[in-house]
Amino acid sequence: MKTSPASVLRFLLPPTALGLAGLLVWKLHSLDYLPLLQNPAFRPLTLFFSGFLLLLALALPWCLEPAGSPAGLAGDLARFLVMLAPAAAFFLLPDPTQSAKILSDRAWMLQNLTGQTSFMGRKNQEAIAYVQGLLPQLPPGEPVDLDLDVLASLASRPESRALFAEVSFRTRAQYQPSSKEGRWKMARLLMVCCVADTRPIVLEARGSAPEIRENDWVEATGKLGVEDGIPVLLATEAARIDPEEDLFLYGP
Amino acid sequence: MEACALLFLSLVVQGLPFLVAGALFTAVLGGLAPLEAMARKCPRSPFWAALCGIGAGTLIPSCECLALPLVRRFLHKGLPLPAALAYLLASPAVNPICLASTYTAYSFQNPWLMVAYRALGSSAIALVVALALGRLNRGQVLQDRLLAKSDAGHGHDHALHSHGTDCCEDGIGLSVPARGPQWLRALLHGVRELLGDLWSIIPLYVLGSLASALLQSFLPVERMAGIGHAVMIPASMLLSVTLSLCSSADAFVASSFVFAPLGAQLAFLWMGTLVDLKLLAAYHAVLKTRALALLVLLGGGLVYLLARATSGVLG
Repeated sequence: MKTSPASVLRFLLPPTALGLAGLLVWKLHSLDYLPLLQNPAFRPLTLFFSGFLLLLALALPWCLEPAGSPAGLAGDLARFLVMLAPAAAFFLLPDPTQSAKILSDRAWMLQNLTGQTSFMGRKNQEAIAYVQGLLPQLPPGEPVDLDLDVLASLASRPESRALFAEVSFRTRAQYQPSSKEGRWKMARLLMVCCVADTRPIVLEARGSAPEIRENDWVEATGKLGVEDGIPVLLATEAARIDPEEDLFLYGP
Repeated sequence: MEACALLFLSLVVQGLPFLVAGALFTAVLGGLAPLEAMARKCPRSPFWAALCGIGAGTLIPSCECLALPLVRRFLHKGLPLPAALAYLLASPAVNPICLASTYTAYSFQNPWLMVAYRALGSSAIALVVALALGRLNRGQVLQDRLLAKSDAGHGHDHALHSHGTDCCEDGIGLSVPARGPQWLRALLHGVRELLGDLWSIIPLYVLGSLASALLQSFLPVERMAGIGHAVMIPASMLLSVTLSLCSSADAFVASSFVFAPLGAQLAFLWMGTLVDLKLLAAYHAVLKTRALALLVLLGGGLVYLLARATSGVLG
């Protein structure tokens, strides 16, 4: 078949662009950006299909031929240029630590949009069953370690508060100050699919939290209670800790 | 710009595997059974065809990204418009995964009611939009390259002839070699179709994601918190279009809109499933601009009316 340089170019554009997209995902994975961008539960799927795109791009020149007609080259060039946009965005990314800060700020901005305090309704029954299973194994007085979303879920329901009224819980979160003495909030970011749907989970806390500043990571221990109709953690201890390795909690 | 780049890459990375999976699933399905024959089995009556599309959406756990390549290929093979559009518009909202996530997100406040409202509302909107667009000529709705096969009686065996000609040109400059065993050529034809689907949809999806990330980064969406209830429904719809969330996750965001009435939260869910910025661009791989505009206007109008009516019932 007679082929022109234009038809060869047109032949090469789709696999090159799609291969670049696959390569970009692997690069993001190797530089630890993927946990910031999407729920890790999707990571195997993402890596599998981006690897598939790469293999497809590499295999095509050996199994297909240029069609011989350069018709549509302009459209293909436009698509190719669009497909370069993610690669360009990659070069604008700050380092993962700074990226985490930006994403956290964005989630808080949206929290202002969605209300002051939010609880996720998920995991309540599982959380109750989990804590009930855990309690007999713990020495008396030992606090139960829970993620903030599970603890907030327990705190928000009267039946789970009553069930665990005498149980001490411990959790780690980011500190959000309040204008009133002895009141503060604990917050974690929760991601379901990707950063676009990230929201903070917030649990009000009462008690002393000395020398802890906004967005510091704090480990707090206390019992669940209610104050002015709002579910709270009545913290008996609160201390600043090193930031958690993973900025996010992940939704179901 | 950094936040914009993060959001943009997040949307691309999140959607990419599902687009590829959808295209691959379609290619494998096409290899196992002739899609033309499957398309011919669909009822010819627009109403029943659209109901079939919605019914298929309830069974197949596919998000919008996964559904698009499948619909595009089936339209290519002659599936009636109402069935394809109803599936495309309803399946992201009525599939089991989406309904389960809606139940979980609203487990604090009438989860079954929200699941029912979401599923029935999305189905009703998809049905009306699919029937309205289905009344038009296929040529007025579908992109020309989809018409080339579906309307031209393209009933030949691809493994039996070379594809160096205009036959089956799907906008990509690739053809299957004339030599080699028949099974290999059939396989390569499938690979070529797979690449054609990806090349048609992914760049448009990337473009839509870029538009969404730019708008989210530079529009002051946080000001929505101060708006009154009177404009809460259109504001929720606009926000939903801008945020471009996956239908499996949007209920978690909607349920956190504690300031908004349930009608506005449902408007967020219905509108986001119907169309958002990333989908708007990607739908262009299937629909012509006018048909797309009609879809947005009619669908948006229905979402608004339904949300107002629901607000009256739910308060």
